[in-house]
Amino acid sequence: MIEVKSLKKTYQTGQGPLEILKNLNFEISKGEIIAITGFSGSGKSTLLGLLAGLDTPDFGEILYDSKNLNQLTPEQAQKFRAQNISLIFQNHYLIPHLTALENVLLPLQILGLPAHESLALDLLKQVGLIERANHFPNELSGGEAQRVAIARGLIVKPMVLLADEPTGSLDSETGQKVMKLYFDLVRQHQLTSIIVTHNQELAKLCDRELKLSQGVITT
Amino acid sequence: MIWSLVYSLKRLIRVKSRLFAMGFFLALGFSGWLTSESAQTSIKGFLAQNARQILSADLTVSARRELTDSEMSKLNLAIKDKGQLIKGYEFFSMMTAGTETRLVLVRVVEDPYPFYGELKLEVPAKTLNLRGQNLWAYEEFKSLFDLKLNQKIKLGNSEFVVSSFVLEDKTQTFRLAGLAPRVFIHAEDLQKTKLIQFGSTFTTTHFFKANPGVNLTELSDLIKKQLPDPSVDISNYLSLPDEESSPTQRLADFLGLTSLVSLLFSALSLFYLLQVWSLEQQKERALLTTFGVKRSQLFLIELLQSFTVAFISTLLSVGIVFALKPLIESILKSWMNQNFTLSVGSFEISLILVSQFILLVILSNPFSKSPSSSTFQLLKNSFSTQQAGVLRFAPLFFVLWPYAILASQSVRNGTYFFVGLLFISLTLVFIGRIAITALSKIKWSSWKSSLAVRSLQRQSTASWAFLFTVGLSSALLNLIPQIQSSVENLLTFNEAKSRPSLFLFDIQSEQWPEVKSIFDRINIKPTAVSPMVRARILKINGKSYERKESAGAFKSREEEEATRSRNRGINMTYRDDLQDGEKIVSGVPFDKPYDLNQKNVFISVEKRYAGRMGVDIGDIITFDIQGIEINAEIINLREVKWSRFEPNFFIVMQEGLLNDAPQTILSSLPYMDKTVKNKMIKDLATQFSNISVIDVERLMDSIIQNLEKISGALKLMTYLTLLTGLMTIIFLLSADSQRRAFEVHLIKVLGAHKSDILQHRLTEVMILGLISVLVGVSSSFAIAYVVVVEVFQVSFVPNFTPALGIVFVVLSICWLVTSVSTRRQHQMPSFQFLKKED
Repeated sequence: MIEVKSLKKTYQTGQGPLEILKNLNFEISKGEIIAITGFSGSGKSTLLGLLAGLDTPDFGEILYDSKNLNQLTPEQAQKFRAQNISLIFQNHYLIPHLTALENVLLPLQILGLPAHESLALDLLKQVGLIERANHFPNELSGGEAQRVAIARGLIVKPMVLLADEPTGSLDSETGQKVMKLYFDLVRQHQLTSIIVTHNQELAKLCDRELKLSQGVITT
Repeated sequence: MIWSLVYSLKRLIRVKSRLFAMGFFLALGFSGWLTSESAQTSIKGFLAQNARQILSADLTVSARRELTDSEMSKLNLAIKDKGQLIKGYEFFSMMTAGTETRLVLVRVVEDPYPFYGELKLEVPAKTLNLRGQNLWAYEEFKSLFDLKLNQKIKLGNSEFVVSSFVLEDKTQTFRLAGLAPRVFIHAEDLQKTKLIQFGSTFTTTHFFKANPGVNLTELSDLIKKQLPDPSVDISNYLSLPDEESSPTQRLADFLGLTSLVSLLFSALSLFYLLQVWSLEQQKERALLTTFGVKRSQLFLIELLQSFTVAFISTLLSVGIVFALKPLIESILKSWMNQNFTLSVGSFEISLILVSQFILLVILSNPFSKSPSSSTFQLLKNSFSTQQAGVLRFAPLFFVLWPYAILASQSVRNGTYFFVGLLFISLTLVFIGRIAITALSKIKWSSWKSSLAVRSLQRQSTASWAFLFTVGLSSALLNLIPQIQSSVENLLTFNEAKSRPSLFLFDIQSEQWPEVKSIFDRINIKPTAVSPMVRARILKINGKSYERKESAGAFKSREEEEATRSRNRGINMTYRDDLQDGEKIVSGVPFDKPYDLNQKNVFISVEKRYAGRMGVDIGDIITFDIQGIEINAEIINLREVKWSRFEPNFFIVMQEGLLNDAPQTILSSLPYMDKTVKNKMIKDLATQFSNISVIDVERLMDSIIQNLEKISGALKLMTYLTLLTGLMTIIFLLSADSQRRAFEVHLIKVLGAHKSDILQHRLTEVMILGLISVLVGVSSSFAIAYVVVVEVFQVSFVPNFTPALGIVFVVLSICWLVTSVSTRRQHQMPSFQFLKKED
């Protein structure tokens, strides 16, 4: 369902060009949960940015259901991304002046879809935060805020859920709880998910692990 | 201590661009004040250096009357064997040359005037050569009268020959509001002119040149003691700088307040800057606390940082003033009539440095937020939390009040200025809150508008900082042109027909029927006729009324005015009713003429004059009128519209008592055609040599010319203020965009298109900009109305062009800066940006 072919990405630095990703090739099936692991600087986040369509590769293709993301116009790519790909970051990145409910509803509003509060409330219920719907981010704990971010990621019913170190800023117990919920919801909604993580325990919970080292997949 | 110092230095180097930004905004704000302070000090320095030349003597004794025999003998006794005394007069008179007749200021001098300084003449001569009906005229007469050397002119009843032109007069320093140019004649020729008669308005001056070794301060004190009448002015060259610089002080006060506006802009920028960085700084403080750094050490670090910024800013301020030096000097030259050098002294530089330091310390508020209590919370939060709202701005206002008083050197003006700003701020809070609440109640169909309104409503500190800065900037930008246009309107031709055309004074009572017949011949009815009686105040409420000496380093303008009012002779009139431009503000009107059974005669006193004199309703003033003591009771206080240019008096007495007292008459004539007016002036000058006629239109021209001279300084200061205001708005908008970068990138990641994001940001900024600029400009109209009507006492004429211009410019800047900065943010990949934020 997701095909990555001959993907290359190089950044210009003061010391000359730095090749981050070197000829990556892999496929991910629908409903699969993949962990991308590797040391710092191995290119994990760069790969996630390319998969999210927020950055463009120097060479190669990323195909979503045979649709080449790089052949779309910027407007088409933006629309495709908004409808099909959701991102969850290490920090929850909720808009501080919107309540939990408003934060969850925002992607629908941006897409111009009817902002059904019931849908958002249902998702907040699924992440166990129905009571906190009208709270602002600074009134939530780190784990709660991350759960709101997960609900926000699910509201547009995306094809793929990308997560960048989703438990990185949480303590181990909270991290485990959040990830359990994450896996439950991804499976319940039959989503494909790619998780970038350092956490080996988390990687083991995924269907498959892709190890990145010096810009290439080693397993 | 050493650790704090080292840490501060490291920190300063690390945040050097931030420090420079703060220093730059401070410098922009303070350079106006530094300019105004330096100009004032330089003027005083100039006067101190040239005081003898300006006074043309070591000491002068002057009064708007002849000194009495007793006073003269006391004066002679005091100066006996201590030097040389000569006498002079100064008065207005009509001069006819060829077909032209106009008002001139006549200075009558004796040999060897002047003791100091010189009159640079076209044909060099000594005062002695003036004898025998010679006259020296200022060079400007060449163009005014087409006057030539050796031409005969008529002054009073006598003919004079123009024997030289005065090219430079070192005794005349300020030419800001001269009614008429000056001519010189010799005292021996005065008698023949018959220009000084009973009731004539003139000033007598006794010039004294001291022998070497005479202590002038002691001599001045002795003469002041011997001549206690406050209307006799005693000046010596040592005290001159303080007294003589007063004509420039009003202007300096205005410049001081204008410079305060730019200072406020810079303070607002600074405040916003500090607010934006405050969380980061608080985190740093919290982190240091966890390492065991004491509160006193943190405080020291803050102080050192504030001092460095103040130091950088002072250097920049001095740089700006030096860059403007040639321009300022040329402006000062046109005021001072002399070559002038502007110097920036160490006192002014120190004052600016200390003021900036204090301002920074108060704004950065190092005493706030004990880090220990919130350390964990601060370190835990990843980005901006909600902050307290409007109250965060309170310190700024409390710093501003004393600054306003210091800059204007007036408790009243400084407080008015402060109250005005407070009014605008409260209006902004009130209207802003209502508008944002109303907008938030609307069900917006577009997410961009809905998000923008929520952001305005919930990000209180940022919204209020923006609202205050843009609102106050817009208000202040509009205030100056509004006041200026109303004052200028008074002087323009539009109101000329409602103003008197001619103003006549020194008319003897017996001349009045003939003068009136001249009016009747051309069918002109005087707009006002007022008898004028000279008087001296002897006592107030039975207490002897003596000369007031002001002492102390800080003299407010109010104290100076009170001293001047007190030490001045009195001209009063009598009548039963009020004139058109008068209004009783407290007390009761005169209900009947004076009758002998009355214990005291009633008087009405102009309200502000009463304030300066320290008198009120019910007080008894004892006057000396032609040698007779008269007790008068104040029964009402009046407001007078001085701008009507009609004969008006500070003190008006009840009709009945003064009717037979020796008096002269003042009269004003309505608008008339130029030919009729010129004929009238000529007829009056030919028939009545002692009557002086002020051509109000010419006076207006002269005032406008003088205003143009000073407008250079005002424009310079206004442009500096404008520049600071606009820079403040631009800075604020780009800082706001930077602050909101996170949100922009997040919305982009959530699927919003670039154009949608721009639209969202523009909606937010334009809503806030529109509220701020509309409230700011509207409230500035209200303040301008109060200032123009209450302070300048002229009718308010709103000028919508600059107001619309300001609305347009401010909104355009909002649009432009937000568009540019949002587009610039799009250049950075959102994913990388958000990763960096992680």
